[in-house]
Amino acid sequence: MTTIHVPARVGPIDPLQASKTASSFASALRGCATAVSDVTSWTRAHGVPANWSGNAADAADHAMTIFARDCDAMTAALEKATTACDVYADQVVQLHEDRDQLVTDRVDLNKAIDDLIADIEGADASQTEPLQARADRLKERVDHLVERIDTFWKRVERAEDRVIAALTSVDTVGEGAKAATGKGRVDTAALKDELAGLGDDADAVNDWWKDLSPAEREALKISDPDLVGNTNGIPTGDRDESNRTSLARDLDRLRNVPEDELSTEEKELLKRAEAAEDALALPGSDKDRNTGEPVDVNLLVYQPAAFDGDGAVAVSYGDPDTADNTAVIVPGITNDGSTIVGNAEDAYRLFDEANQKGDSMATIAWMGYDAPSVNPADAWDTPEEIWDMGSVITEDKAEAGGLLLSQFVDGLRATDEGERSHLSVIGHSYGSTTAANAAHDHGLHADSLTLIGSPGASGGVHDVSDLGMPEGKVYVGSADNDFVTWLGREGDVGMGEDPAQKDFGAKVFPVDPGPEFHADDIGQGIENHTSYFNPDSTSLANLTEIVQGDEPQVVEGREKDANDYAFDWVKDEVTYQVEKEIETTKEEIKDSWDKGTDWVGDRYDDFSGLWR
Amino acid sequence: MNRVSSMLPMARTLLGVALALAVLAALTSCSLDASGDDESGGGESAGGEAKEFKAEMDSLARELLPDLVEAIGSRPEELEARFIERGGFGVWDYQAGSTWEVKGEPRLDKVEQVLTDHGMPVERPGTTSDITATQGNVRVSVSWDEGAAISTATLEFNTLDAAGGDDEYAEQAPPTDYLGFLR
Repeated sequence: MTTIHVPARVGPIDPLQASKTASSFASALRGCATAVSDVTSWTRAHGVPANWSGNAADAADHAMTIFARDCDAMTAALEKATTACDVYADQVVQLHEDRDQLVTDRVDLNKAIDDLIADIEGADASQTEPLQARADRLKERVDHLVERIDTFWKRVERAEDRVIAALTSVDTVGEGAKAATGKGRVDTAALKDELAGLGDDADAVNDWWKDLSPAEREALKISDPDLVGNTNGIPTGDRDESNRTSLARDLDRLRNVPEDELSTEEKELLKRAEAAEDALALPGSDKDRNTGEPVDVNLLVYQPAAFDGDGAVAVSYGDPDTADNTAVIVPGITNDGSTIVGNAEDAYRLFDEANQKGDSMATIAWMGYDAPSVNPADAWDTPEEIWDMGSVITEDKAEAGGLLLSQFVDGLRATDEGERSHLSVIGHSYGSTTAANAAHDHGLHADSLTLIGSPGASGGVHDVSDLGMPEGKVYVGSADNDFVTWLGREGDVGMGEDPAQKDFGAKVFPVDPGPEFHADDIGQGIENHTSYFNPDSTSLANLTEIVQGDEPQVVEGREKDANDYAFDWVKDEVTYQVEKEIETTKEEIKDSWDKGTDWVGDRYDDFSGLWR
Repeated sequence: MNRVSSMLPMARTLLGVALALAVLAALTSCSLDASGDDESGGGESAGGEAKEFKAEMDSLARELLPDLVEAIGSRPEELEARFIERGGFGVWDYQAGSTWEVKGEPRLDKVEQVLTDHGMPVERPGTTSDITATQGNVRVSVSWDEGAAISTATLEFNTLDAAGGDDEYAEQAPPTDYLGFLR
């Protein structure tokens, strides 16, 4: 009897105790650190009130100094702990990936062993030699896998030891104080100076950030989350963590104040913070079909008090640093930080459509400029609304927004990892004028520019060549019954040419025209203007193609002048309204006549009754 | 007829013309003007449209969802209906949607059967989805997509027309948990 030595199957690999959500602990710790850092800064900046004097004032001043020092010690301790946890969280993600690979390899190897055993059972003596050779090769693979598993658990242990050591090194006030005054303490003021010196150069910012140590990055995220979160060139993950810290801080502070004690500004701030929170929560439990994980949502801009309180915010579905395709959606008038959920809904719908075929997607609702935030329905109610509406007449805000958009896109380019992402910019309404301004005035480093519901492609842009985009990569969608698209005109007044015109030279893609509407149903007109991302619409289908880098359907551009759509509508509308009122008046006269004859009839009956 | 009521037709005519001229004025000034209207659509006095749309969609979802989920073969982890404003225009869509992992072959025939059984005209494929069906002001769509890692089903309910004027109601209406409609 011949014996073949077959290696034993590799035993199961224990699950990792640490969850992939370990990063949420680091985030919570960072939030605490920022809160304590804020208290430290406030205490140092204020001291005792100026009108206090005498021994009590000296004592209070002394106490506040001690308090500030202790707070700083806590901040230093939390900086160290957060850095350690953040590094550990990254390691845990990597360890999970490595374990998954080991599990896959183990399953494959055990199957190969099972197959060998089955072959041996059905073999005769003449096959002993090749079967033993197979068994030997499998033994080598088993030994190698067991060694990898052993190394893997040693890495797990080392990672845990490091984080534990870091945490225990700062778990007393004394150790915190030592960390605060020690040589290794990060000088965040100096880092901020360095960052300021880089200006708006997103590539330089990105290089500088990558050169910082984890401790330096963490210290800056704790002391200045607003700065880190909103600086173009800093990677998406770090911006998101910092902005979420700021958001949590605002929500925590404002929700703990009784509503009737909040000032008007605080109420507005809370409204914007809650809108950002809602936008982040939009995907709920939805799964990303390319990763099988929950959708990755990132808060790329969070400045709720920017632009005189209108607020700036940008939310990304998917990670633009790693996505194959990225789209930036620029909203138009009526939008500000409080309306981000509606913009985010559009972005998320586009994400869901385009995040397919194995190509990863990131779509960004970018409310990062000061759009004229007028609601047409309220336009006549308050002088402020009318004043803000006045800004729609000019391109000032589109010009200022164009610069900000251009810088934001540069930031995305700087943080892009791996193969260059296909990047699309989609401007809607006044946002299309803003995006065109960015392209014309500052250079838009995107692969395509799409203008939808556009009132004009900005002054100074006569045709597609003035936008400086790659050839054939300017797309336009204009619904015939979208009244905003009737405004485009060349000349000093207005926001420039209608980009849907044939002679403008853009690729015009079909969109649903929307129902005709009348002046007494302006809501339908607004719906027509805001339907470009509607579920199952022709427009959404074409936008999906564009952001995936494919070509949409293309139709002939308009030959009828944009303004003529409006003149025709006004002409028809006057006729319609007059005819309608003639009909209504006729009905009312008839009603009155009928009522009058009824009244006369009734009186006749009354009098007749008297004589009976 | 008193004097005030006798002036109403004329006032409405003037308002209509004024609104039309407002758009004309917008052209000359290139303002994105659209004044608040008084009768329907965007005005605050439209009254009850959001509530009506919500009732219609909730009612359909209550009736349809148990059969639909059974046809798909698995249920979403979350499915909440809520109002979402289009920008700051004061027009509100009411919608619910979820994307979740599914195993096995697409069960779109079963989905289509359920929608047909409920008397809904079916379009297959829809423009961006695999199946859409409408009833009144509500659209239901289902997609079955394969990604690099998993296959997913996406189920959406949404109103076709947006509700105007009911800002306060739409803003304050809490989300409705559609999973509560499942048996």
